[in-house]
Amino acid sequence: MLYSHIRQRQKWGDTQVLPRVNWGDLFFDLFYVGATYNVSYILVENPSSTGLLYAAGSFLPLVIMWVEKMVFDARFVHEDDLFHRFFQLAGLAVLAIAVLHIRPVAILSDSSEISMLTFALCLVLERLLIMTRLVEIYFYGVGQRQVLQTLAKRELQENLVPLLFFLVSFILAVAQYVNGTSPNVPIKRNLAATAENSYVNESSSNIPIWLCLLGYVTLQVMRCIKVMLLFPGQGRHKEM
Amino acid sequence: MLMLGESILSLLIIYVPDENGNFYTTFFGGVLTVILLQYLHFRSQPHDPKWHAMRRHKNAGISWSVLNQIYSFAFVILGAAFTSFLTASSDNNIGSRLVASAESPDTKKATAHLFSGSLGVIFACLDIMTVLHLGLKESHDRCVCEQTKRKNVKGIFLVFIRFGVIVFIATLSQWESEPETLTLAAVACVLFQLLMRKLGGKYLSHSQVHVLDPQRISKTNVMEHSASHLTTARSGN
Repeated sequence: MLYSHIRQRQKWGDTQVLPRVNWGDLFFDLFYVGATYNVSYILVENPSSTGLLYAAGSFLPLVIMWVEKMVFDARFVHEDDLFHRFFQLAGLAVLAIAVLHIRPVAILSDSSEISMLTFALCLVLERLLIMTRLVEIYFYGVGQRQVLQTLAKRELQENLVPLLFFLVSFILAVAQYVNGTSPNVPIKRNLAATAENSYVNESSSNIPIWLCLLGYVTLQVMRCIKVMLLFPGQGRHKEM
Repeated sequence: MLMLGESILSLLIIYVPDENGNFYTTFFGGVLTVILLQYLHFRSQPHDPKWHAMRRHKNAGISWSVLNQIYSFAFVILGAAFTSFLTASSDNNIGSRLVASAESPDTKKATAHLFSGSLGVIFACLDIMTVLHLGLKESHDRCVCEQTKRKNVKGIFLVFIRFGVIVFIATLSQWESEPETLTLAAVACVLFQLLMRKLGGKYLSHSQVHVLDPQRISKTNVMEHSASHLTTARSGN
């Protein structure tokens, strides 16, 4: 099958059924094993507030991907079609590249390195993939159409702000890379507990990682405001 | 579960050329800490999905969701701190991670801050998530006897002790930065937390029935009790 529509898993008022965790979910989690390992290495190499900043700025935006996949899988389902297989593949590829470029502070903050701009680019691509899926739900989702369209529209608006932060971070990292000097020492990646050829470059900047972290914080704050303050109470959300 | 696994990885996947007594103390203390944290984590979860914060109320659900991410990040920091402790415990650091000023007191202190801070955050998050699962009203009701309206002194005392443990472990790095000492203190604190959970099951349980002590029932209550029975008996006739 080339394409199948995304279907609403449960409708409002139905008896809740807990979705089962499948092998694909477990495989997805494996990427986070690598991510947490790389993030912990940032802190081992630099156990300071700067290290904490880079660890948070690289870990927390990735956690959003995990949460959003879980939220999507809890609400929607689709058949085993080619389009969604490639879509999933794209998502995993973006995640893998992001994890790969979680590097120590000295490398991420070095404007002559590509790690920071690649990481920021992956965050941008991930947001775009999520927004593409929301557009698909809006136009082709099967279920309670009004519910789906309202949800898709709101979540699209919600995703615009973190996308903006990640995009600015990427653009800034690219600008710094273009203006930065080329590295003197070839980059070597070593396994755990062996020497990392990290070095401190004078042209370092923390702004891109700050923007990545702010993108995450903004998204969480917006979601909290939406649910806590703007969600209609007393069951009125069911009046669609 | 992923983050607990990462903490274990941080302890196990490490190359230390010269293992000594300090290393083994830190290593086994670290493994024990993570195993006990795993037990504490699952002990703190609701037994049924319908008791979860996300099912109880939308505000509790979104709060839990955000807190869970902070909780996960704290575990990552804890794992990193364990790795630093183990590499620092080795007498010979050649071949280990070449961190910036690996043996400097500043780095040692910074790692200690990360360790105790992350453990404090983990304990705090677990307690807050428990309250989110139960709700503020239910949590408050467990501190007051439903029948006698008296404060559950033992339960409230337990709450204060749990808060004290969080403050203790979060500030431990202020006066101690030796990896072995911090690790052993972490083991003790997690064990203490488990003990608190056990005692909480006894003194802060929802199903606890406070039997009315006949000696403490006032005369007025006895009269009212008797009058209500008399009225019921007459209306039944």
